[in-house]
Amino acid sequence: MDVLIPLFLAAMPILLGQAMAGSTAAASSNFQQNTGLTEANYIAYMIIGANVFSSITTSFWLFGLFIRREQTLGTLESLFMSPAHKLSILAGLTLYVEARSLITFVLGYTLGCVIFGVNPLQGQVLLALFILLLGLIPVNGLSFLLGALVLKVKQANTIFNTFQWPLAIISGIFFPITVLPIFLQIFAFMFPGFYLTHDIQAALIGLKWFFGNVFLDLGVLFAFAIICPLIGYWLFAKTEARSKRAEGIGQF
Amino acid sequence: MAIITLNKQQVHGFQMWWNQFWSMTKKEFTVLTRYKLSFILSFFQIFFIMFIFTVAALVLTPPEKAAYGVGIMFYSFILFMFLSTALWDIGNSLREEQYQGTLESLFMTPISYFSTLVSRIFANLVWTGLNVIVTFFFMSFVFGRLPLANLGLGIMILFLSLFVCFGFSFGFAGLALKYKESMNTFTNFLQFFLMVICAMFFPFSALPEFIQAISRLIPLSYCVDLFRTVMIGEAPELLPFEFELAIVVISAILLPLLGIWYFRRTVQAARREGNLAEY
Repeated sequence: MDVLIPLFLAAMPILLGQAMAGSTAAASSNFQQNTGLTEANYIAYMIIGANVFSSITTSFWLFGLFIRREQTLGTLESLFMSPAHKLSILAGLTLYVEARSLITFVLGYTLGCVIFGVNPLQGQVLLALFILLLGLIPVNGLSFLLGALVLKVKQANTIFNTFQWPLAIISGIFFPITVLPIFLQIFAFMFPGFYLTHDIQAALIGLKWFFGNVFLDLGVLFAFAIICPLIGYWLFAKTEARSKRAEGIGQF
Repeated sequence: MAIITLNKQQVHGFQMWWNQFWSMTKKEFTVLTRYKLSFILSFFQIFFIMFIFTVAALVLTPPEKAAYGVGIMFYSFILFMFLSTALWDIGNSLREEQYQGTLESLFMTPISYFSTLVSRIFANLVWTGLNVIVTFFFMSFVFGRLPLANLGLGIMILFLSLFVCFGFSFGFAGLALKYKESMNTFTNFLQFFLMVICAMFFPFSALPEFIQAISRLIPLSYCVDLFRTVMIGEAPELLPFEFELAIVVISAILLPLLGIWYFRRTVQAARREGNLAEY
């Protein structure tokens, strides 16, 4: 399903847009005119966006889902009373999700390109995969925040389901953020998912690098990869300590 | 200890059915409103989803067709929301009862299967309906006035389409009891499969001919086509209006009956085998 869902998501705007425009060529011309991305293939752009979004949501939800599951099964309290370090739990989950994202991205992108008649081997494929692995680290780090939210408000599914879409909007998965109001663009610049999506699109379909060259873009992702896990863990540890002092962490 | 004896009329009569339905609905509503933040945020969720897909489609669309495109996207999405609620909520609710260990005792009582199933999604359906109304105003505010050609007929078709969704939903509840956790993946797949095959976010003409042939075999396709074209004020794409309406009405009667028959069979088999409580 991780391979198919991004394809379904990308198919919606692509097919509606093509039906409205009358042809693929007309849709392409409209895309270039409306976004200013004259060099981009809009189908590949949206397929990449949908696949990166799928990886981001899986990573982002990872730790929160784990906490929620342990909560409902009644094993969270005993797990947290054991001397197992939370970072080691997240590291294990991160390794799993990185491997899974790599495989599903390759399969999903290739399948989407084949179905919509785009060459999947254009651009710098290996660089794109490296960016995916690097860019998911800060997203995994931020998943600690969601873990903290689950501890605090318990039934966090709707919160996550609601906020994953604004994150998709500011990640520029289907259209560049330049079509958005300036305040949303500012949010986008603070979210690592935006750089992840943009840089993979740059590597595969030749968009301009956000900071002018590949090394600067990779540098920014690297900085996020260090900062986000630290902030996420710090907030999670605070929430956990507060919950333990108050009502405990066994309730759900 | 006093023993209360109920006769057949008291167990199976309308009053008993209504009491079961209402008690279950109240319980579901209590659960729904228990998590307040999550309850309030669900209002925004639909708007965000609509926003991203609508803008994505609009960057490919010529300006003169923008209103039509937004209309197709919005009205299709309404049906998708209800379908999604129907497909997931009953199965998930039953699974939750399994986890909590209350399912077996519930199905040992002479409860009406229909009322227990419908009441599990009634609160969510009402909530989805409110979400849709709010999103209509949000969308009109952001993208301009949405087409609204025939509201009365549209609501009637939406109501019939809900029964078609119930049919799928009851069947899936049976499958959820039988196949347990592995049903999640299948439901997920089916939801997206129906989204594409029933052309939920784009006109049927956008699909290749061979996929359109499959679309014509699924009753839900006619619900989608009829509902959105009535709301937009265009002729249906798949068949003339009268034929599509007939298919929707017949499906709205037959599919829930078929679904409830399958669900009843699954519960009885699980009771015989004694695995109703296993999860």
